[in-house]
Amino acid sequence: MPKAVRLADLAALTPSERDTIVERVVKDDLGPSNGSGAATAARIRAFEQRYEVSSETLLEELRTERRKETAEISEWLFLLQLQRQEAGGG
Amino acid sequence: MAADPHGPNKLTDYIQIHETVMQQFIADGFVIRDGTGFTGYGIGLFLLDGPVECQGGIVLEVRKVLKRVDGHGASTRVQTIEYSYNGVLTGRGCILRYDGPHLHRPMHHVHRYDVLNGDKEGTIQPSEWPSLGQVVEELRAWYYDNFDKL
Repeated sequence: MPKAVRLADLAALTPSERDTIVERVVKDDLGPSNGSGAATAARIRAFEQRYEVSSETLLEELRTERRKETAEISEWLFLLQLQRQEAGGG
Repeated sequence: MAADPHGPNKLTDYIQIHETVMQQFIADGFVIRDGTGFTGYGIGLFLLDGPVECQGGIVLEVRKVLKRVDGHGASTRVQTIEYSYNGVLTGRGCILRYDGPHLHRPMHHVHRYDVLNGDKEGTIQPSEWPSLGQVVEELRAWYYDNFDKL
């Protein structure tokens, strides 16, 4: 899983140090998602286990208004969107 | 015609704009700490996520996905393709949440809650696509409007 760069830490760096860090993040992005995609899938599975429904069922329950779009559900939907982007589905 | 504020931007400029906006809110005293981080997700995607801690126990949970458009190294250009800005009053509940289009609701929309009166259901309305700074600004206005009730 690529390491996150905390944006607040960049202010203390020189322009050259900042470029080095940005280039490292860009390099991380050039590869396959590897650990990132697996981590997203694991977080989706954790939601599915906690709510005891599949993501497909969640979407159906939202469509038929049997479930509310809470902050947690929003996070779950965000992860599904991310997974969709990863799969090239946009 | 004004440039699209959500159009492709150089990654270094994108980060610089984020820092400048956050520093302005920190100097103003409303934002206490910017805890957001930036990650190369892989396959041409970047994640920007984490909490922005504000006065009054308000936390803005930021989640954004940026897509590589073109360029190399520090000249890489990116564009936001997904976002969710969730403003929470710690220990009480959501104040507001701006979400981009998603599988269930395919348009930009905002959830607003009467959090100080225990509202957990909220209302949902279509919205414009806000910038992070605009959402922090809205939370700052909410904070000063409700300062005596917090």
